[in-house]
Amino acid sequence: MYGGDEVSAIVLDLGSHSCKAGYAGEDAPKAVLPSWVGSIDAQYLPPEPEQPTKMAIDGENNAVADSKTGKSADAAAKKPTRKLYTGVQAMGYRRDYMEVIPALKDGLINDWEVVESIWDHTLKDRLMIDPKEHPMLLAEPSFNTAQHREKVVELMFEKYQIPALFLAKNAVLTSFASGRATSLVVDCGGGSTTVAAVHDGYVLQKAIVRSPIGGEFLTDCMLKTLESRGITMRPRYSFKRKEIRPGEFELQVLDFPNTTESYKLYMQRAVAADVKESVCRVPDVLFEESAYANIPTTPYELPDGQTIEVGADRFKIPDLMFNPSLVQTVPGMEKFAETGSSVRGLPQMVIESINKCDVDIRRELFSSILLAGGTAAMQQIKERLEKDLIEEAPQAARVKVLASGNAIERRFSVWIGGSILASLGSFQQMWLSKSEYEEHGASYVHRKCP
Amino acid sequence: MSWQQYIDEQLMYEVSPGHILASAAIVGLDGNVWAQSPSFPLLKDGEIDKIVKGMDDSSHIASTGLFLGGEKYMVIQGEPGQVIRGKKGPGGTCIRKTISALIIGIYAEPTTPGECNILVERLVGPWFSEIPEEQRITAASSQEMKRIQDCCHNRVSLLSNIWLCRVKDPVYLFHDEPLVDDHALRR
Repeated sequence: MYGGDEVSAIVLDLGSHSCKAGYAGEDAPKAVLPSWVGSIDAQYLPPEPEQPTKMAIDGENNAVADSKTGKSADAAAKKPTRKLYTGVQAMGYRRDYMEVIPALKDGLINDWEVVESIWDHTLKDRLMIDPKEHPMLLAEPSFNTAQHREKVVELMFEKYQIPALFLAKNAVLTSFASGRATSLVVDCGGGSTTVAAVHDGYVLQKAIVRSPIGGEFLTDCMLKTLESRGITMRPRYSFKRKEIRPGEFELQVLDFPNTTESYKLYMQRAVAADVKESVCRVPDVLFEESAYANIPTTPYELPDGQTIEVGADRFKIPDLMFNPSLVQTVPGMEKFAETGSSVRGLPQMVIESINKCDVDIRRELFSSILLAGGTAAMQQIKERLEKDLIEEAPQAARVKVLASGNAIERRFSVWIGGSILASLGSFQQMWLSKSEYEEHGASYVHRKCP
Repeated sequence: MSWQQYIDEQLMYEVSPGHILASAAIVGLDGNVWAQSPSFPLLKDGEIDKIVKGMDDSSHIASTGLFLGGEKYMVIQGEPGQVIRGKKGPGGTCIRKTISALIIGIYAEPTTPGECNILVERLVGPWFSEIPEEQRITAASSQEMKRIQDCCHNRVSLLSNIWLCRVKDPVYLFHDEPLVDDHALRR
């Protein structure tokens, strides 16, 4: 059993949109970076020069270099299949042939090499810690599979040699962040939306409801809508602004033919995401084209200097969360039309999840519905959800939707919950220690971290 | 080793001061209680039946509740076909299914859910498929079985993922085939 030394634990939350990491006990993560990496395929990489064994600076390096002489010949002969670029800075710099690869797919880890690269960068470059010294609390999706859990445990103990580990479900951590042991957590994340019921600190597995509509989906819709209105969304690398006269700028379009489509899309989405975050508001009632035909538009200045006017779309895009069938009216998103019809809106998902729970706790769940996630920081979402639920819920139920007033807290609620959990005195006995892993294997995690 | 010994020595084991199961029992899949600890609740009709049915798909008991002796538990993440875990306030239960019986452990504060899971599940050892091919040895003859019984005495010992279980007649209680630790036989 890991006793829990004075050294503080690291809380790591890898989501579909961003990876959050920091020390337990703090109120916000120190490192937030995108959950994507840039990847350049081997054929586009400059050939590696033959590296002679490096002259050591101190004796320690010498020993290491010597042990590797036998291997250096093999290493030079074996070319890496691709080179990964991780982190905000590395991804912000445009490189020829660089593709953008997401770490997660459908909410679960898809590419382990990419995840390793992100963790490496987070722990060593951003937090600058030695993983051997810190126990790690990892946040995992509430619907995580046994296989994924075991792989994470294996990776953490074998590669990073951490002293202790705990896997906690996202919904549980959000619940802790709000100080509740029982609640219904509505996590509107980047990649998807998950509704999960937490009872006495544990997720009721059978009551999890998911929907593919998340922040990124809304960003895509925004991008397509703006493009269909004739606005060119220029990614930041594709232009330069020169000041010809004080206050006046001239736009110079730059052409980079070897930029990949995925990178261009990634950068365009970054611009569209900012538009979405600045102007969008959840409408008070179900969106109808006619009702919003004459509302005043809001101006927004794009990075290349263009000023666009966003009108009814301000309300239409967020309403996709409540009424997914609206996706059919978004130009360019027709292929999502079939998925749009089978996906339910947020209020329906909440009701469905509560109905799958035991009758005794339903009342309690209705009165403690928590909003979490980056997309839940959208304006007026709490009021709209509460209103819709009061209409749809059974008469006797008292509906209360709770959300932190602070947008930062909503976005990082999972991380904050992890920070709280890892600093609790009563939690220290629950760590899965390295010796337990070595003795019992990775499957021990299912018992220790139920 | 009798079933009652399994309860007294293995399940009702004090992991650390104050951390011990509230009660435990080994119950046949038909509902017959083989052995139990003194404070184990009296099981009502149909409870075991529902649990056995819920092992493979716990959706039904998840929505109506997991009952043990009239007490209701909320179903949390288990392992389909093997384990059902339930939560009730700060305490809860872990139920492990074996070929002919259910091993039930009920815990309350300050015992942690992880500790209860370990106590209940270790009785059965790792699932047979987890043990690598080379390490699986099956006892073929009654003579070999005697050798196993002689060298393992009355304890359940753990050696790098292989459990040595003292098995009682009928032999195949916990596993499809009995598991043997190579070192124990050679000693």
